[in-house]
Amino acid sequence: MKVWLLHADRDSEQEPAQPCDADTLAEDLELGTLVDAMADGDPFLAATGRRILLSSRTDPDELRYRQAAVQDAIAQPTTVERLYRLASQTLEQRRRIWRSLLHKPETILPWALDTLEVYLDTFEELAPVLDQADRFRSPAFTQLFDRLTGELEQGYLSRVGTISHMLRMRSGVLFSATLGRGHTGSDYLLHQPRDWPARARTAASPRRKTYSFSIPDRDEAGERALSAMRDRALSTVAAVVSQVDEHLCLFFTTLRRELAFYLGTVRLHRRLTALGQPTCFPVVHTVNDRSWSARQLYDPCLALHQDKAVAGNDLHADHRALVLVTGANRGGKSTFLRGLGVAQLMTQCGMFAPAEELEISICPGIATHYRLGENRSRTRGKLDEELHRLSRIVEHAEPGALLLCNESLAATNEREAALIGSELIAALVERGIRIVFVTHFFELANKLTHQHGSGVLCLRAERRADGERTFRMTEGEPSPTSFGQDLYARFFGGESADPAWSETGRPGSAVVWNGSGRS
Amino acid sequence: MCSAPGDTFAFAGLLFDRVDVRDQALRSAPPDCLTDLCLDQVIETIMPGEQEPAKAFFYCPQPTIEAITARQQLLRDIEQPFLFDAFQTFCTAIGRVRNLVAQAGRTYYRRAREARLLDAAQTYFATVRELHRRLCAAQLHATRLRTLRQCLTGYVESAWFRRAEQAEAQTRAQLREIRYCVRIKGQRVHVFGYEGEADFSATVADLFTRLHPVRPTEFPESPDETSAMDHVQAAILDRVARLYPRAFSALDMFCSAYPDLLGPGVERLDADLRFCLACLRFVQDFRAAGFAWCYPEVVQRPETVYASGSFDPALAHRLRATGNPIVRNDFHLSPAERLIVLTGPNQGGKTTFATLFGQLHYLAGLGLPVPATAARLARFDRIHTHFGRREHLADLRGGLESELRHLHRIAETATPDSIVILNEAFSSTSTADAVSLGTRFIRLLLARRVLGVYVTFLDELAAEDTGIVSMIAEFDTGTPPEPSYRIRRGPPCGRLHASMLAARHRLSYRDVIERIAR
Repeated sequence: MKVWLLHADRDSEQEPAQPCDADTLAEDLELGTLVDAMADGDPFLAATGRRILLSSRTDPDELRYRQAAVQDAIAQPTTVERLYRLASQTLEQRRRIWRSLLHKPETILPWALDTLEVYLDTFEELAPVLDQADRFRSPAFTQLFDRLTGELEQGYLSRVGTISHMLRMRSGVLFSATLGRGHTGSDYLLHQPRDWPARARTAASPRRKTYSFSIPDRDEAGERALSAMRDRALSTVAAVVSQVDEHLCLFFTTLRRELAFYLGTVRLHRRLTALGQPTCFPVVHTVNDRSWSARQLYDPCLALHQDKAVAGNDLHADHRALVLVTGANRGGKSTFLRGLGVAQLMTQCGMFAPAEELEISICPGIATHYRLGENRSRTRGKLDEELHRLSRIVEHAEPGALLLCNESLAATNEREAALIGSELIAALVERGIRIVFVTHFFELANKLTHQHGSGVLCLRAERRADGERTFRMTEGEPSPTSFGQDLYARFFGGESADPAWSETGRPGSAVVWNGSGRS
Repeated sequence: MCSAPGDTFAFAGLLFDRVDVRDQALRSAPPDCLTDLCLDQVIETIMPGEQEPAKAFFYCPQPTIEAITARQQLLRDIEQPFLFDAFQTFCTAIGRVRNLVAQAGRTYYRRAREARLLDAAQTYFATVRELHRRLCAAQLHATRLRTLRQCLTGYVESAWFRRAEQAEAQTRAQLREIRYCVRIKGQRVHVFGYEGEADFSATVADLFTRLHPVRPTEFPESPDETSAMDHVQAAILDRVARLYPRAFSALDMFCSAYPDLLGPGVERLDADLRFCLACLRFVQDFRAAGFAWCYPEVVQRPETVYASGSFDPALAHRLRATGNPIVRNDFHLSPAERLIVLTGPNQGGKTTFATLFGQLHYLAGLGLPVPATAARLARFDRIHTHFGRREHLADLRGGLESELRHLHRIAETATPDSIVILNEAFSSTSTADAVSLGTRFIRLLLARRVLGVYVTFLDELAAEDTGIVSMIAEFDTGTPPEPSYRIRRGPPCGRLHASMLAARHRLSYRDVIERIAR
């Protein structure tokens, strides 16, 4: 039995492959907020949602397969939820059946038969759910319903019931054997149990010559010997029935996991829609299309966190290898960066995207490189640590991968950062890595702008003439200052908050670029 | 197989000409030199865990060149892949037969015991036939293998052998046909004949294949389930015997007619073969790793003797395990040269060389290949070894005394056919004493005309004399100089040793200045 809700040709893995620094990625992109919204209090939904979100898929057809199923799930939330509950409840009931620690056929068989009863009950409950099948359109859901209807027809289920009743062996275990090594029994064959004397008395077959004996009470060695013989006789059927359990357990586990993703997506969609945020199903392109444009792309984590609608940004970065983001401190650069990362992850797990429109090339890997906060524990020098992480990223990078850098190389001074950074980025771009680089280093930004010409898209966090931030990114070459002084002025009041002063980029403003007012 | 006429496999064995010589040889104790030559380690590697009777083959080097040549011829034949495989198969199968007979002896239930004896018989007959078939197909050069083939032919063609073989096959066929039913309900067990009942496991598996493909995995059977019999199974077996009386009475008759199959001839053949195969496996193992072994030419002294590209198999076996390189050495003694006096710094490979000299001769004396690319070695009557034992140094006078007693005994018993290997004799006395004692003892050895190696730290003993060959352990140039473990002819090289040792311990002038300054 196959689930195949996430992939068109197979069941999903229990532990889908995660990127090498999954925790860093999740933390940098603040996926926790997103995952909490998907879970809505269900820890299994949270864990599953996180894993699937982080295990990006790269086949556009597969993503379209999931997008169709997500559309179905959003349209039929109650059916999806009911199926999910049924799967969870089945697994829970199975877990509660007591299982002997002795792993031998004689003890496994009754246990496996008990689990079989649980599954048979579930199949009965499943019937009314399957009647809803015609409301689904996506290949993922319709094919699952078709398969279930076909495989679990009533005649078959009742035959299973009969045989599993026989397997309880209430009239004793009947088997035959040949003389094996040392004349111990060999080549055991189990026979259908029946009430032997009753059959023996029929006229058609005269009674066979039978020799009988009994094991005396308290003959423990004798009991063990009988038990060993029963084990050998039952070993095949016990293996078969426990394999059936294994298989059905796997089926329900997979079903529950795959439904958890769709249910989580439904819940996330419900939250964002309630906040008035737009969503869309992204148009997915291959890596080589180098497509990357959006209308009103926003960071869903910020919206969920603030519990209100947030502003979005438009993006026109088709065929750009490098997106360079400079501009005002606290002007929304990090939010913008995060929005790009989250949108990419959501797209590549088959979800809707946080935008009004999104056309995007899939990438074979996403990595983030954020300046370390002071709270993270460190065992090396700051720059050493940064370069170590960069080198790890480079080690795992593939052409077409997406690298999100937030104030990378901030641990060193501007000149060195320009030197190291420009060479590193030139090499990465050369190797086809797509980079979004947020920096307040003018020298580095300036160098990159000229180095990459039309391959670079320069964005600036907008700041109006009155010093007010709009959290919008506008296209613009890097300017030789950051706006930290504004912040400084807000807290300390005063003289340096003259916009004209900072716009002119007088020599000496480097003191300010180095970000004493950065959060 | 002793009572009825025609049932004996009269074979004296492969390694010796006569049964009484063989029996006597196998009672011999390990010679004293074995441990000094590290051959006990080699033997343990070749036959790990074997007990004395099997190892005794190693304890009796052959006294004549003819006996040695006969063994070399035998081993060359056995080494052929076709025969090697045939003999290996034979020994494994005979081991299985012996095992089954032993199991039968330990089995309490009669019918189970008889089952094992029947199995043993089946394996035995098939094994003997197979060996005979293969020997007939092979081209044999060794006289003793031809004799073996002749004996085997007579054996398998005897009326006794054919009758026994046939009886076994018929009994087995009757037993194989039996299939019986058992029904267990609670503590009650019913046994009755099988009448074509269907396989219920298959029905169950068929039912569920629709849900998923059933894997043919069964629960692992514990080994005792497959062979050991308990009282319940024995009780069932008794009922089965009552249901099928003909087959079981045939079994009874077979077992009383052929109670004991493995006779002394087969045992001798098996033991001799196991010795040969174990030795050849050891050699092949080295050859596969690129180390040449050869059959030496064995001569009667005075004649030139030599070995090229030779190595100590005990040391090489250890070094191969750790992946260290193995150094090979040569020697060459003209008819007039009798005693190698070996000098040089410690840790230079002197002891290894002395050991090697003895090992090569000992292995050659057994008729075995030796670890060398080419070799011509002397026949000997006995190898005398004297290796200075460190534990004796504690009591200086006592140590010297027991040492002298030992050396005296060697001098008394050594003949011109003996080989003497002495390592660091007189190390427990003063240097002046040691020089004088050593010089005198060497003269004595030369007078006895023995062949040998004398390892010493005293350069004076290597003074030129007829019959003496001075050899030294060579060191690579460098700081600190490393031993190359190569031994070559040459005069002793005096004080150089001391400075080399100092450098190796970082005690040179420069080293010491540096170390103290810090």
